[in-house]
Amino acid sequence: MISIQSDHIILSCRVRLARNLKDRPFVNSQSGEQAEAVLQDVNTLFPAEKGYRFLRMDALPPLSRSSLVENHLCSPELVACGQSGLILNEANTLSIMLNEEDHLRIQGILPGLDLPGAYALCREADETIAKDLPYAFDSQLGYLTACPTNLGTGMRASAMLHLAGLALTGQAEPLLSRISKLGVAVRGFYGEGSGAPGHIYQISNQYTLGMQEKELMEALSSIITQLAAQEARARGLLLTRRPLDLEDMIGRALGVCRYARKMGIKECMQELSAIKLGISLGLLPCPMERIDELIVACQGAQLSNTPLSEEEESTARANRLREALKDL
Amino acid sequence: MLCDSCKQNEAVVHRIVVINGQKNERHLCAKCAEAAGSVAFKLPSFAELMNVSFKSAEKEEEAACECGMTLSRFRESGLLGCPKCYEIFREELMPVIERSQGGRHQHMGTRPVMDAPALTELEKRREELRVAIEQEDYEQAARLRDAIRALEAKA
Repeated sequence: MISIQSDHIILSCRVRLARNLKDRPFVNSQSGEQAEAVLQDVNTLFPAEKGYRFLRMDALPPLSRSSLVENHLCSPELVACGQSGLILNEANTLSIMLNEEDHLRIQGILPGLDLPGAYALCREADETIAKDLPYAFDSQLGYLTACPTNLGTGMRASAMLHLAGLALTGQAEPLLSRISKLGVAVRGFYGEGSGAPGHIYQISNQYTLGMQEKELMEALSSIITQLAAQEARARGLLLTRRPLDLEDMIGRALGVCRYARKMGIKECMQELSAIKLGISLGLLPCPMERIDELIVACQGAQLSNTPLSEEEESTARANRLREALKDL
Repeated sequence: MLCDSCKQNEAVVHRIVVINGQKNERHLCAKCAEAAGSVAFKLPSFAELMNVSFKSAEKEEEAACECGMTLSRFRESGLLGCPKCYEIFREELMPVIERSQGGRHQHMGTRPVMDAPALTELEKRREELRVAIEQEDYEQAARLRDAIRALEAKA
């Protein structure tokens, strides 16, 4: 059986801790001054001398804000809030969203499946904050959050999976609906409410209360590892049973990307998904990182420094794809 | 008894009006009563009745947290207003929490590092009380309840 690099299936993982500061109203009830105080109080704990960057959403142009979302550095909800902020470490592996749904959303993001590593990143920041700013905490309900679905650990661990093989063999939907009964939530590429363009899915723990962080991560890791094994199996089957169809699909995807003059985001994600599949099966000689970078580079806000019309955007995207893939 | 007005149908509406001690009785059938317009013949529907009684009950019972949050606002937005809401609405929230958390209701994970300002005496006793109730140690719980009352009175 063909071996597939696991990071060709599990693209990245993320741990997020939701926290609120003690004796202060939650974000949805706080005044402008109180929101400002959260930004200032937390910001001073992560100084620029230590390599942290602080971004105020109300000081950023809309395009830069969208770009942060497309790079998965913050949620679409954060950029929609007025008095919100984002703290990033040098490597962009740690991001702290301020005044999103909760005062703090501490996020660690790493490539592949390394949930303990991502958690360690979060935990360090978490402890730094807790030393100076007491959290809203209850011994029964744990960390208190604006929405009860985040109570307890306040932890949402997730991984981004490319499930093209399962999707092409018609197994993705039934399999994902089955695993959603195991306390796991399945979402699209950009979180809640977004679709799964390019067969990229986000798998995360559904429950946050009543289990230790370690248990939650282990349970999720085990489901993700099994899902990735199923995906590898599906890819192997496609290659052995339908090699011609597979090569035809990948060849067409490459052809479209190399010659199209206009390309919508949905089609782009679909074609790049097929190319990723081709690379992972050894059918296309290209480093995978190049396509992963291209996926982000083809999102709306990455295409230009100024806002574009729909037609200009799809033209710019097609140009970028042609340029990036001309030697393939 | 026949209707006073048409003298044909059975009277179903019986109206007794007393003006200056003078009693005046009038018996009408449904049709004549409606035509006379003097009586609101149509009863409010069950739904209307229930709605009214729900509304008034809600108005009476609607408790608000100091942040202004109420349970009906929470039901609309799914978000609470401040940490204290969990104390004020705990009883009503617990079933919601258990449903959304797969039946779980006790935090098992990490706690904030204790370098942070220590818990107040009152917070400590409240935690101990919760544990005592959980362990069904009601003697201890009663002692703690009294201690908490004393502390609250002092505060």
